[in-house]
Amino acid sequence: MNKLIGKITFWKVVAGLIFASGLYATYVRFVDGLGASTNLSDEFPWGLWVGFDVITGVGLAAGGFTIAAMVYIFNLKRFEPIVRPAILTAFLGYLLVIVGLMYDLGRPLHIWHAIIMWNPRSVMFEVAWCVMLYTTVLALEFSPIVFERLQFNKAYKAIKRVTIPLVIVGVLLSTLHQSSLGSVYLIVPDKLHPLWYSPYLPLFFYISAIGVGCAMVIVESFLSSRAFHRGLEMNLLSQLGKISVVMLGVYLTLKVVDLLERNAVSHLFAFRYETGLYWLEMVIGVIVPMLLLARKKIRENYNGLFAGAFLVVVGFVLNRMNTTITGFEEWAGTTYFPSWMEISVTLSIVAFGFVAFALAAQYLPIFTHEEHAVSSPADEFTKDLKLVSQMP
Amino acid sequence: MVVLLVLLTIVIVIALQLYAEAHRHTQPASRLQQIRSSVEPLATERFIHPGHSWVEVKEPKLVTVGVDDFAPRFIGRLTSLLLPEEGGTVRQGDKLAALRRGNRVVWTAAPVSGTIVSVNHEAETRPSLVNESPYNKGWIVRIAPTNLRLELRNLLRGISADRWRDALRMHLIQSFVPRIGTVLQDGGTYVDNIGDALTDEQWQKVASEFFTFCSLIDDQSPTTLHAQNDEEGVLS
Amino acid sequence: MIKKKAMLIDITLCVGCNACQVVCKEENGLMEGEEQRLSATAYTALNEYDGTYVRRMCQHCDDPTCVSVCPVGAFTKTAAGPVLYDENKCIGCRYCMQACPFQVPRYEWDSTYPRVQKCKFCAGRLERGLQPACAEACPTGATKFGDRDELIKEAYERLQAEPEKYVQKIYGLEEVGGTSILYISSVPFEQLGFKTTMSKVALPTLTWNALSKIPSVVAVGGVFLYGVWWITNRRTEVQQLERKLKEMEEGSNGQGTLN
Ligand code: SF4
Ligand code: SF4
Ligand code: SF4
Repeated sequence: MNKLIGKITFWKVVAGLIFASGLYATYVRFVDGLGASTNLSDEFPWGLWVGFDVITGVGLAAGGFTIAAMVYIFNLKRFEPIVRPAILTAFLGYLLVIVGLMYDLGRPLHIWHAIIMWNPRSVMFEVAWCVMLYTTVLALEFSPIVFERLQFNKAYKAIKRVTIPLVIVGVLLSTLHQSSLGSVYLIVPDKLHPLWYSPYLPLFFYISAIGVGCAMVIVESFLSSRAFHRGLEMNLLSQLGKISVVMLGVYLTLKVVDLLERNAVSHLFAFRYETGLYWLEMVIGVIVPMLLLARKKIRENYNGLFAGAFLVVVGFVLNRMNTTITGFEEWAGTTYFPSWMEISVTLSIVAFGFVAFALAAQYLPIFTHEEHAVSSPADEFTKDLKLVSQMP
Repeated sequence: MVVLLVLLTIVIVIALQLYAEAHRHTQPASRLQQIRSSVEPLATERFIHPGHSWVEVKEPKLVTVGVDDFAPRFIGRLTSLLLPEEGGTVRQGDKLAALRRGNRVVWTAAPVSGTIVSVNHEAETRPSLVNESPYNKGWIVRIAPTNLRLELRNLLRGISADRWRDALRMHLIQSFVPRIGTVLQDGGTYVDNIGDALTDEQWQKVASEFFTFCSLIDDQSPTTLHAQNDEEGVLS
Repeated sequence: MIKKKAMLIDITLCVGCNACQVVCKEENGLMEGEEQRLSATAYTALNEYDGTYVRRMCQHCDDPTCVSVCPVGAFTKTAAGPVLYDENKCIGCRYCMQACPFQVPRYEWDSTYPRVQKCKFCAGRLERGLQPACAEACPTGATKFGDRDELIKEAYERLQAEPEKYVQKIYGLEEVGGTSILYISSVPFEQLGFKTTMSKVALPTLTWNALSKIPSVVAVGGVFLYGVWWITNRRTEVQQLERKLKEMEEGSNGQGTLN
C-alpha cells in the first residue's frame, strides 16, 4: 500500500481535486436541485448522468458476464485467471451505476418504487429489475473472494456449489438489460437522429457490450499490471482481443445492413455535425481497432493489443454518448453541454471506481487465486509435485 | 459536443499520465530505488516472464536471460537449442529461443526488448545444460535492453513469480490428472520430460495451453528451424 | 361505456387572446413563470406563427407513450381520455419527457422534490360533467370539447364545407395511433411547428415488440446455456474417465509407459 501511495502522488492530487469539486457538486445537487446543478432542460431531460454514468457504465461492466460465461458455461478454463478481476470490475461498475442513478433521479428516495409499482410495458421497468437482480448476482459471484479472504470455508463452499446456476442467471439478466438499454430508445423513432435510431438498437447494444466487455478486461489487465507490477496473461488477452474483433465485425456488418435497409446511407455523407461525430465513433471505435486487432502480430504485441482494446472502449463510449445526446440535439432544437458540476460528479464516480478497484486488488485475493480455503486433490498433488521436483 | 468533451478528457488524462511518467524518469533516484539498493547488497534480481523466460538484472546495460525450469521439464531432455543470432534485436514477448526434443518444439518469449549481445554457445552445443541448470549455467542470451525500466513492470518477481510457477504446475497437473496419478504412485520422476507420455496430438494440445508458440516439425534438419524462425521476421 | 372525449382546436378561429392559459392557470393553481411555451407552470401555451396562433398542450394520446414508458406506472390513461400523472409514484427518471413524441411533460427543475407537470384534461371537471376550463373559456370556439367521434365528424364537415380554406387533414386523427386533441388548420401543419412525419402506429408497440420477446429469450437462452454447460462439462468428464481407464489398462499390461 505504501508503495502505491508513494508512486502515484500526482494522481492522488488530481483525484483529490476531483473529489473536492464532486463533493461540492453533490451538495448543490441535493440541496438546490437538478436545475441548479445541471444543464438539463425540458428540451433535454437526459444528459451526461444518464448517458455516461448509467447507460455507458452498464455497458462497460459487461466484461463480468462475458468472461463468466466463457469460463463456466463454455468451459474455457484457461480464462480462469481473469474471471475475478472481471467480476470485480462488473460489480463495482454496477454499484457506481446505481450511485450515478441516485444523482440523476429527481426523487432518488423513491427508487424502491420500481420494486413494488410495476409497469411491465416499460423498458425502463425491465432494465431496473434486471440491474437490481444482476447486481445481486454479481454480489454473490463476488462473495467467494471475500469468503476466501476471511476464511469462511463453509460459506465459500456453499456459494461455489451454485456457481453454474448463478452464472446462467447472470448471463440471461445481462443479455436482457444490455439489449434493453437499446430498447429504451426504440420509443423515439422521430426524435433520435436516423444515423443512430434503428429497430436493431437492442441488438447493437448487446453486441457492442460483449465486444467492449472483452476490451475492458484487456485494458484493466494492462492498467493493473502496471499499477501492481504483475505479469500479464498475454496470450489469454490476445485471445480476448480476437473475440472482440469478431464482435466488432458482426457489429459493423449489421450496422451497414441496417443503414442500407433503412435507406439511410445518404446521411453518412451529409455535411453535418452529426455525420462527423458518427464517423468519429465508427472509425475510432470500430474500423481502426478491427484493423489493428485482426492482425496477429499486433494482437500479440503488448502495446498493439492495449491500443486496440483501448480504442474499442473509447469508441464504445462515443457511441453511447452519440446515441444518448448528440442524436437528440437536432430534434430538441438546442444543444446540450453538461455543467461543470455534472462533469465533476461523473469524474468523481469514475475516480472512485479506480480507487475502489485498487483497494480491492490490494486487500482481496483478486489476482492470486489460491484455493487455500478448500484443499482439493489438486492441491495435494501440487505439494507432492513440489517435493518431488526438488529431489535431485 | 459532449462526445468531444469525453474525447478531450481521455486525451488529457493520457497526456497527464505521460507527463507524470516522463517527470518521474528525470528524478535522480526514486525512494524505491534507494531502498532497494540499500537492502539488497546483491543488487541482482530475477524477473519472470510468463512466456517461460527470466531476466537477471545485475546492471541495467546488459542483462542475462534464460529459460524457466518449466519449459525444459515440459519438453524433456533437449535434443537441440536454437538461439537467436548475436547482434539481432528482439522485442518483449517475441520468440526468443526454440527448445527442441525430437519433432517437438516450444519457443520461449523474450522477457525484455533489446539487442542480442552474446549467446551461450556452450548451451547451444550441449542443450541438456538447460535441463540441468536452467537458472545458472543454462542461461541463453545476454541482451542490451532498450526499454528496461518500463518493461520490467510487466514481469513477475518475488512472491508473484513463485505463485505463477505454482499455478503453472497446478494447471499442468489438472490438465491430465489421472496420468500423473499413476506415475506418482510408480514413484517415477515424472517431472522431467513429462511430455513423453503423450501422443503428438495430445502434446500439441497441452503445449498450446502453456506456450504461445509451439509446434511439431517433421523434418529433422535444424536448418528448417532457422528458416521458420526467420520467416517470422523476429530475429532479423 | 364512457364515450371517449376530445377537444377540437380550429386554428383558424384562434385569435390569440390567451384566455385558455389564464383560466388553466387558475384552475390548476399554477404559479407565475415561463408562459411563452409549455413549462412546469404552463400546461398550455400559445405559439405565434405569422399571425397564426397555435395552442400547445398534452395531446392525451389514445395509446400514450408516457404511460407505457414510466417504470413505476405513474401515468395512467383514463377511459374518458385524460392521461393523468401520480406524483406519489414518480421516481423522477424523466423517461416520460424523453419519450413523449410531442415533447409535452415538463419538469420542476428548481425543486428538490420535483414533479412532472402537464395538462390534466381537467379530469376533475370532466368527472363532474363539466367541460375543461380552457374550452369553456375560449371566446371564439377555437377550442371545442365533446365526444371524440362527434368532433371528428364535425371536423370533416368543416374541412368539406370550405375545402379551399382548410388543409385537408385532421392532425391527431392518426398521429401515433390517434390523440384526444385534434387540430384543423388553414396553414400547412409543417409551417406551424407540427411534426407531420410521425408514425401512424402507437409508439409503445415499438418497445413492446422488443419486450414481448423476453419470455422466449429467457426460456431459449436458459436452455441453451444449460445445454452448452452440460455438454462441455460432460465432455471433460468423459475425457478424464477414458484417460483413467486407458491408464489402468496400460498399467496392467506392464509398468511404466513413462521413463
Ligand atoms: S402527448 Fe405526451 S404526455 Fe401527452 S399523452 Fe401523449 S405521450 Fe403522454
Ligand atoms: S419521471 Fe416520473 S412519471 Fe416520468 S417516467 Fe419517470 S417515474 Fe414515470
Ligand atoms: S384541459 Fe384543463 S389542464 Fe388542460 S390546458 Fe385546458 S384548462 Fe389546462
